[in-house]
Amino acid sequence: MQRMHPKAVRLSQLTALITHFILAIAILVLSVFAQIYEWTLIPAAIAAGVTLLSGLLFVAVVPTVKARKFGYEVDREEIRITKGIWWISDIIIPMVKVQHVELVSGPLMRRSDLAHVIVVTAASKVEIRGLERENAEAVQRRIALWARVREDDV
Amino acid sequence: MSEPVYRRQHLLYLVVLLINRLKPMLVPAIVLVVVKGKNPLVWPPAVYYTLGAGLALVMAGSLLSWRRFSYLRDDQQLIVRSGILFRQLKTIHRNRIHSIQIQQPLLQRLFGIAQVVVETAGGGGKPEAVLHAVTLAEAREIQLLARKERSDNEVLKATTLDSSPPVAPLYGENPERGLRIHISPATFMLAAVTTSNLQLTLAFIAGLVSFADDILGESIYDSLAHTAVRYLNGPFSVLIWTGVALLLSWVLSIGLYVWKYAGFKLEGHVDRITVSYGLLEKRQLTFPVSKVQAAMLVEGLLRRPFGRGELRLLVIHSDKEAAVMLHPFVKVSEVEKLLGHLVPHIHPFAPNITPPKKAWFSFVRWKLMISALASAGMIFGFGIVLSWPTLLLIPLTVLWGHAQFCSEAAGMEGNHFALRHRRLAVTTAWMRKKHIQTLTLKASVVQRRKGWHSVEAAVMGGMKGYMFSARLLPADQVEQIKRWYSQR
Repeated sequence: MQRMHPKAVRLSQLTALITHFILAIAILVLSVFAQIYEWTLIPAAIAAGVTLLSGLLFVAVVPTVKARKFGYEVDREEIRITKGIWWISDIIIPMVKVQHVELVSGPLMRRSDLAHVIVVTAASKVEIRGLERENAEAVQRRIALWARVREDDV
Repeated sequence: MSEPVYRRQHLLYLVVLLINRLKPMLVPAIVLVVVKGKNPLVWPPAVYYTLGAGLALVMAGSLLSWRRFSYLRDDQQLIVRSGILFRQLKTIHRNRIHSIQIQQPLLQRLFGIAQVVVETAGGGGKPEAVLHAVTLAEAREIQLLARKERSDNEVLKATTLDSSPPVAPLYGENPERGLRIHISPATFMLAAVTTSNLQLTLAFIAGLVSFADDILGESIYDSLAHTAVRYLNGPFSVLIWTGVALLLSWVLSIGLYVWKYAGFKLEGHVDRITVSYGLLEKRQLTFPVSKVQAAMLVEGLLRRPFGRGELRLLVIHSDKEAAVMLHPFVKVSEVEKLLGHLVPHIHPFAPNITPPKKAWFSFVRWKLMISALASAGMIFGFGIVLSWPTLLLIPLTVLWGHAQFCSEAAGMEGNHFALRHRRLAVTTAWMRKKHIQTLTLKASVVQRRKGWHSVEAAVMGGMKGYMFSARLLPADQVEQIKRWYSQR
């Protein structure tokens, strides 16, 4: 089983950090207004608590656990993917069922040279997440090549 | 077959097109005349000139598009020429056709003509060609394109008739034309009465409520609610209200069901199946048997006691509906015979891998907790005198979980695969290994430790595909399924 690239873990930690930072600013603004207009501070306090907890969860726990449980294998016969945090799925896609392969990357992902590979069949769509761009392209090419070799009916 | 010449659509196409184009203007017109009280007789003449000119333009356009639309059919292909400014020529070869539907929307039905929709694999969900108005006889001729050549027809017929057991005379078998099923009115009524289309009716009720809000205004609504609350208050009010809602949704389901499936007819040939149904809007769908990916039997809550269910097929076509109705009220005991005759490559067998006894509580746990909490909340809020009937929810949900536990199953036999799952209705699906697009084994961290796995199989059907599942099966047997499916 091949794993996610460590950079992908750091990137999702960074993304979570940014979102929570924005939330924290919003809460700060709210509490400043609350001070000025003498509103109650309870909603801001609750929001701050929730944000802190979810920040801890999504920065410190979720990305590493996700990366630890994620794995993929590609060979001539089939693609196998394991993923999930609480609900763990083992997915098998026979090579002959692959319709096409997509490569997706957002602006932040491009900066750190990462990409997702999306495998599309006639009835489903599965992501192989957090690969280094070069590797992702190689995987995409490989799947595209092996999926084309045998033309089976769907 | 007649000689290949370019044909035009039925002249009534002009009327159909005209009415279809004027339809969007109908509502504003009604609003203007009726609601705003604008008497058409006192309109300034300029309005009439504009209207007349517009009408003339639309009519000219319709005439032109009728003149410019022609098609040619022979026994190999359908060629469609169309377009007023941009001419288009489309050749659709027989082999590429997935299905040919003969439809009769209200207008066409009134005129006794038909609309033909030709679907191929491509096209992103849009039909490849639509003939809006042809005679019924012509529509049937075109539909013959979905049929394979006569020679391999006979070969196939011989083999399937030999290998499959004779079908009961109930189906009105005719060896020349294949299999015909016509649902008798009594059976159809029973099917309609036992339907339970909850999602659709809920949406309908929601729409009705908002409509009532807009039209009737708050005052009537309030006084209605007020009266209802005054008369319907007591320990059984919850039950009565649920009962009323269920009854209403049931009546609605029956209506919708009759609207959609009345006059259901099935014609099975060796290589293709034709189904047609609809009360006012007739739909007829023909598809090659080879495009069938899976069969599913849905045994609804009210139908199970009768040993009946609805049988659907997952077919590759671009329709919104993923599963085509094959029989709306089939006897479960006859499914094997019916499928054996119509779709011999699908083998319905009883799946034998079932959840272990220890998994029973997992099916009940959450439902029990939620119903107990809800009941406790009601009692806490409104007192035991008023809300004790909610306690009945608890055994009911336990019963539901137990029924689910008893229903879940998976199994494989040769190249065939079966999955059975229950939400409220029991859905059993049969498919060939080669038609499963992806297989997923799913388990939570706790379930994994206990050795239970759920299985999901994605199969093609309609535009998006379909996912069948079975929950909490023993891990070692799920591992066998995985090995069975894997190409390694």
